[in-house]
Amino acid sequence: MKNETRLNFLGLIFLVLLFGGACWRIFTRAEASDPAHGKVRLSFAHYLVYESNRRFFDRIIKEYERLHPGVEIEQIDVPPPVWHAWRQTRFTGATAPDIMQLGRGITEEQFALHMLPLTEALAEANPYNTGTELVGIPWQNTFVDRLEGSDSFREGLQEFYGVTTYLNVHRLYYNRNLLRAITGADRQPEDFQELLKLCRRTKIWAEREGRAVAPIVGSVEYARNFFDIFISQQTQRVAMRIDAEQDLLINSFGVPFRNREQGIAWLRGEWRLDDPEILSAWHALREVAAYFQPGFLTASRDDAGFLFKQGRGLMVMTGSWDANYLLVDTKFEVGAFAVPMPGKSDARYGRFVLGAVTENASQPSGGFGVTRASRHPEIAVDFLRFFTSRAINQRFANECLRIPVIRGATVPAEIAAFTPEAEGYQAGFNLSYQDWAAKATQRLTAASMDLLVMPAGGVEPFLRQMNAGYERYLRQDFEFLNRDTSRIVQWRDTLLLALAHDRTVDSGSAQRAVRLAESQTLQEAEFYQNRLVLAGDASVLSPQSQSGAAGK
Amino acid sequence: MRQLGITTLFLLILGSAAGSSTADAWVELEQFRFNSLDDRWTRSGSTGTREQRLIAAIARLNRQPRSQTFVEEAVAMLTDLKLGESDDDPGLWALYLLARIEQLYRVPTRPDLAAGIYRRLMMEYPRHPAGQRARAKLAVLLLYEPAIELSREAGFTAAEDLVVGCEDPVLRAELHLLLGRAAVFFKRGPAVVATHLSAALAYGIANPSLHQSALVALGTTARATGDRRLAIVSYRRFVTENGRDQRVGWITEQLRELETEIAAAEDGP
Repeated sequence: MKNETRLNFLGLIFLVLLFGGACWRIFTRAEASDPAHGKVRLSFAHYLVYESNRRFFDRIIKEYERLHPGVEIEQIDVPPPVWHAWRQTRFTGATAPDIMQLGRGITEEQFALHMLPLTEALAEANPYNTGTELVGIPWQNTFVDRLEGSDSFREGLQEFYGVTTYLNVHRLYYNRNLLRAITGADRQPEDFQELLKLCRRTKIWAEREGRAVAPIVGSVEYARNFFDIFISQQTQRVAMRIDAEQDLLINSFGVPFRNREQGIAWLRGEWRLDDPEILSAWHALREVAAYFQPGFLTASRDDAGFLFKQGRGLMVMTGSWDANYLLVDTKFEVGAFAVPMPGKSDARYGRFVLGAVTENASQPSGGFGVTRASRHPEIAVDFLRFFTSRAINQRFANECLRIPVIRGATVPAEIAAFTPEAEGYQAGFNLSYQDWAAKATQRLTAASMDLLVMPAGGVEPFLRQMNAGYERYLRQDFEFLNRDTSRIVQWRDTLLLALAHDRTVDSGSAQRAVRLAESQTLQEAEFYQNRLVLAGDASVLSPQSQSGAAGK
Repeated sequence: MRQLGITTLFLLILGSAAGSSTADAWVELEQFRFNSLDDRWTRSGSTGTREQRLIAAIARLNRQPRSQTFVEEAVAMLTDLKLGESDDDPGLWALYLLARIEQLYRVPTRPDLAAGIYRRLMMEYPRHPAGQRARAKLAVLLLYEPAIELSREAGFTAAEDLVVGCEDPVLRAELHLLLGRAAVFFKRGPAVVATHLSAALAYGIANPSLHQSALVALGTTARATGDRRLAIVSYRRFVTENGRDQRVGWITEQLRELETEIAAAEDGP
């Protein structure tokens, strides 16, 4: 009994200590963020966890703090796999950092609820560009794309919510030492047939030398990108034929909802998976996939990078974002080149292409925005101005090997191969349906890919499986898309009504309301178009489709 | 006299407080903060101004997670509002929202009821923003909803008629763009497409990406109708306005071809 009392007493003391500790932490945390304490504290969260990025951010934060002695900025780096959950928790708990990286599935609703529009701030000049020819130019116009990409401008809300910091392009990296050992020279393949020839030669060399070297190493994610690049070139001409809006754009990488037009055209019976153009794409994929390492469809991005760094692959398919990881601290010399695509003169795969797919409109990435939870939004915006000044953007490019996005900043010499290729034509459409609608068609394609790329498979068995489920999965995606579209249209009603009554709206906001009204009406029209096609309405189906070919 | 002064001052303070809370509420709606607004305001009773009652109904309609109960409650609130001074601003927007609910929120939807309200708004209040929005929404239903118009052909003609009575240039642009896109979708031929897209561009499309798409589509359809000069004007405008676009390469080639064709035609046989 006596022991029990003592234990209870100890337990009580323990609880009091815990409570006291928690109170102290809360108190000190609140005090640290209180301007009265002396300094204003801001947090800056991102998922760019490569060491070079983290060190760079530390350096520029210190520089900013020197310029503004009353400000302290804390860097929070969150590993990409947990970023989504971390962000959600911070949003829900109203503990979001002041500055946050955008991208990775942030929804329109989350933008409206949790992020601060930067539209007004972007109309003013960036004072950190003093001394350059960008002085006096509106901040928005200092970006190469005027921030029209999805990491900054939200079409559904017609507002800018972020600023971007670098641009991404896909590239094949290669082991220069290995290439010299295999071919006797450091010469990159110039077209698709040369790439295939190099792959064959590497395979023969590896067998002869008894070396476990794959011509190309890839991960499920990057192999899909690689395949998308090929398919979107092979479908350039068919895309022009089925282009429902006649604006020459069916699909562009990273832009959601672009698969809608090709889906509509399929349901209308205007193209099929075994049309000659599409068949050509499947054959090209099967041919090139034979040179990837065994099991690449289950490999992660880290697996592929690790294999390459171990010298177990001549080439690795990834992009400019991995430059620092692959070019620095690797035991052999590394080079990079753009994925060689079939030219129009390619005897096997050139029939249906317009030419190379241009990188002219590559979408900037690395977007950062300010959260509504920020207690010091004006300072957070100012830090973003500093971060995206030309001088800092150039240093980000130089020190972290990134393609810069501020006008006048140049691609560093070490990554000259990443300079976006301006020549070429628009892409057709991809067939991975990545992240589109309910992802049903994406799942079917991903699950069937094994049949296409494995030695025991082939184009025929792959198409049998795809054709058996394609219409069903596509319909599931469209049903989801229409529910989603209806929801978006409904929320826009509210937004439009609110803008019509907002006493603070200026002429810019009035223009925003007009843009929103226009796109709402067209989106509503798309909703009904989808419904007519799903219902098999005779007015919208092609003659072949009406005679029973739709389910082919 | 002194008492009157104090009362006036009190009413002024009260009025400005109500105005400020109304303005804040619209901003909250812009930020999709439906639940907090509904909790704080709607549940405190419906004794506010008519504008505040409209806001309360919108918050209830959008309350998350969505439910048919909230929709029905919002319908009751809007109906009550509409039946009051029905031709003031909140009354007209209430009527418009009732149409939207019939068209989009209810399960199953009742597009015929929605179309009836749109027609009334459009005919009786053509200059009010609610009447103008109603015209665009009615056009969508005529074009695509078989329950409103069974024949797509007749629906298209009826939607075209809605442009005739429309005086607002911004709305005319929107209607022509809608018709142009519909003409492409229903494959009504390049001449019809070109007519509507030309008109939309002439009145001014505000959304930059829609404006760019319309320029390209007009260039393509104009070429198909043999109107090379219009095709050149549209394509050239697109290239001038959008240097950084993946379509620039193809369109620049088309421009060269078109110019060669014109030169050849002018030279004669």
